Amino acid sequence: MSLSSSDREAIRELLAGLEHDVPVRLDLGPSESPVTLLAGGGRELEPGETTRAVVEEICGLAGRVQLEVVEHAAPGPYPRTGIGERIAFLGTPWGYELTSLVHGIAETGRSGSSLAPASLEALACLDRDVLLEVYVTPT
Amino acid sequence: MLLAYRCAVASDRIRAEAIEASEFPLRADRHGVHGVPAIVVDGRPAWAGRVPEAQFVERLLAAAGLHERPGA
Repeated sequence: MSLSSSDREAIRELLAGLEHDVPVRLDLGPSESPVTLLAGGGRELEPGETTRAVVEEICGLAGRVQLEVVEHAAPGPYPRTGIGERIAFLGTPWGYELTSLVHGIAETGRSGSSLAPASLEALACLDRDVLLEVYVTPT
Repeated sequence: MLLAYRCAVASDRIRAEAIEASEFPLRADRHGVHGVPAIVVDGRPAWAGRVPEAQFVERLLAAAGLHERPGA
């Protein structure tokens, strides 16, 4: 799976606006629940290899993104793409979720938040750590 | 998903993970995920479906045990 030239250009443009460096860590290894991914035409995709190709391509489009790839021998929640310290994507990012991943990098590299002031004020009330998991499917 | 990422970037109290349900079916089953997006807060199913930003934040805080916005 490779990005189209128009996707590459759009991502390059978006990530050119990064105001500070963004670390991206890709953890690869045997999946905790192996599944078979099928691309168009019934071609079988390997999640780790597919994710590595996509993430490397995205990170290669931005000078301020540093990619670290960590390989694991034991089964775990892989592939896992971590952006900065607090956001991650588990699985193979494609379709709409690929867009979310790119915007996650962009948001992490911004100096200010793109949330509304009222949302920021509300979130400031949190006085304990919260884990937010969002289940998605490729679209 | 993007709203979850934005919240996590904005607050150092929040960690956000997107999970591709078809690649992690056991996790999805454990949380009773039937439709997407399905939001789970601290291991407990919170809501499903897309909502506007204000509602997303409100539901997140409610699921985390904070029910009201400041001054509400």
